[in-house]
Amino acid sequence: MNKVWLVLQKELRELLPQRVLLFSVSFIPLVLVVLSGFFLVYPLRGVRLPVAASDPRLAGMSPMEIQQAFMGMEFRIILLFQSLIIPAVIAAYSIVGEKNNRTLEPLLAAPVRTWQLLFAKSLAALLPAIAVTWISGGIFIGEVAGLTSPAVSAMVITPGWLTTLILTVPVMVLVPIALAVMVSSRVTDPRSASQLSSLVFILLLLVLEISGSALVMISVTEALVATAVFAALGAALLSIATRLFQREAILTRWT
Amino acid sequence: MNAIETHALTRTFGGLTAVDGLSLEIPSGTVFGFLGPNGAGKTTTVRMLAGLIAPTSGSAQVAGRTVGRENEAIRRSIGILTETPGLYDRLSAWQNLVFYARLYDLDAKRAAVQTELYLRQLDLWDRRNDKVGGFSKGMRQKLAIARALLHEPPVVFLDEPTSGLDPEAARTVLNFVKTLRAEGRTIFLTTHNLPEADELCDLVRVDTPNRLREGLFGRGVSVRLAGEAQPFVAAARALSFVRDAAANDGSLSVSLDDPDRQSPLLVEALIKAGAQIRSVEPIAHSLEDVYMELVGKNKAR
Repeated sequence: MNKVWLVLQKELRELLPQRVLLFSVSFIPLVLVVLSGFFLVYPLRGVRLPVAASDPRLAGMSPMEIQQAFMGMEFRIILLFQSLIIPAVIAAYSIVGEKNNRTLEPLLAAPVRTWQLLFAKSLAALLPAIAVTWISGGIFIGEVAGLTSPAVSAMVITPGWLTTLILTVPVMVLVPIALAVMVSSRVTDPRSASQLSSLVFILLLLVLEISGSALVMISVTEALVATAVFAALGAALLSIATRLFQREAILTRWT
Repeated sequence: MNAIETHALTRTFGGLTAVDGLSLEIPSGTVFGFLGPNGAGKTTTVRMLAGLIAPTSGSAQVAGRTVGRENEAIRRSIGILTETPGLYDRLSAWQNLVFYARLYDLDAKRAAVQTELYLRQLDLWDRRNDKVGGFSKGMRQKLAIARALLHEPPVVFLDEPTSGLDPEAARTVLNFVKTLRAEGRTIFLTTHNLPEADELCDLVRVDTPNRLREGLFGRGVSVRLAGEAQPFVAAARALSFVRDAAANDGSLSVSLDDPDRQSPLLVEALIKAGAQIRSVEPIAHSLEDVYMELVGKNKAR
C-alpha cells in the first residue's frame, strides 16, 4: 500500500495545481448549490407535482413548502449524480496522459505493480470527487435547513439520502472510474479516452437517472446494501482493468 | 561474472523482426556500446532486458535474474534512462527524484540523501525546487540520469543519453558516465554518436536492421603472425587482461583495456605459445569506419 500512497501523492500533486481542472471540478457543483438555494427561496410556481403531491408526508404543508420539498428532492438527486462526471474524465486521462507526456515508460520500468498503479490513479480521481460531493452536499443540507421549514427539511434530508451521500456515492463513483481506466488503458490518445469515457458516463447516468428516484428514497439499510454492491462492483471492475492493462502493448503500440 | 547475458534473443512485431537472435555476454563493470541506425532494435533490446517487454524467443539474464521470470527483481536491480526523459513537468526536480527513490524502496531519509547527492553531482541542486517544466533539455536529461541512479543499481541502461543535447550538456553527461564507469557499474549504452561510444565504451557492438553483427573491438592490437592465427586465439583468450580475441586473415585481433601496457605481455605469451610474430599494431580503424562499413554492407545486401 505504500506505493499506492506514493503514486497517489504524485497524482494529486500534479492535479491540484491545474486551475482549469479544479475549476471544471468545482463549477457544476457550485452552480448546483447556487441554483438549489435560489429555487428553495423562489420555487417554481404552477408546476404539476405528479409524485410529490401524492406523498402522504406532504399533508399539512403549505403550497410554498410543497414546492420547496419538490425542488429539494429534485436537487438532492442531481447533487448525487454530478459527482460521477469529473472523476471519469480524470481517470480516463490518467494513463493516456502519462503516455502522451512520455512519463509512462520510466514509471513502468520501476518496481511498481499494475494494481498499485491503477488503484492509486483511481483514488486520485475518486478523492476530488468525494471532496466535491461532500462539500456541495454539506452546503445543500445547510440551505435546506436554513431556508425551509423542519417538515420540508425532514422530507428532503432523509437518513437514507444522507447515507447515500456519505457512503454510497463514493463507492458508486468507483464504477465509472474503473470503466474509464479500462478505456484509458486501451486507447491511444486523450481525446479518444475522454470521448469514450463520456459515452460510458452518459450510459451510466441514464441507468442511474431511471432508478434515481428509487435510489434517494431508500432507507439506511438499503443504502448500506447498495454501498456494498457498488463496492464489490467497483473492485471487480478495477480487477478487470488491471488484467486488461498490458504494459507491453502500451509501450510498443502507442505512438 | 557477466552482468548481462543473452542467448538468441529475438523479438518480432507481427511480421517484423526487430531483434534477431542476439547473443551477448557483457562482463560486470563493462561499458557496453550498442550502436545502430534507427529501427535497428536498440530500444527494443533495452526494453526486453529491462523486463518491460517479453522476448519472442531466446533468453536473457540481467544482474543474475532471468528476463521474463524475474522481471520485478530485474527492475529493482537496474537503472534505466529511457529514450525521452519522461519527467513530471508540474513537479519540482526534488519531487520527481524523491518520488522515484521511494518507488525503488528507499526509505524517506535515504531517498532525501540520494536525491541531494545526485542533484549536487549533476549541478541541479540550485534548481531543486523549480518545476521541471521550465528546465532545458540538458537539465531534464541530467535529471533523468539522476533518477536512474538513485537506488544505486549495478546495471544501468542509457538509451541515447546525449541525443539532442548541446555540446556542453553532452560533455557533462559523458563525464558523468565516466564517473559511473569508474565506480564499476555495468553500463549498457545505446547511441548514434560514434565518437561518444569510442570514448566511453569498453566493448561495442553494431546492430544493423534485422541482423546483428559480431562484436567489434573498442581498443586493442592486431598481431600479424607467420602462419595461421586461429591456433593462438585460445592462448590469447586465456590471458586475464584480454577481453576477447579473434583470428582474421593471418592476424590476431585482440581486445585490450590498456594496449600500451598490455601488448608486451600479450606478445610474450604468444611467443611462449609458439607463435612467430611479424608485427604488432594498434587497431587502426576508428569506430566510425567500422560502423559505416557494417551499416553500408547491410544496406547493400
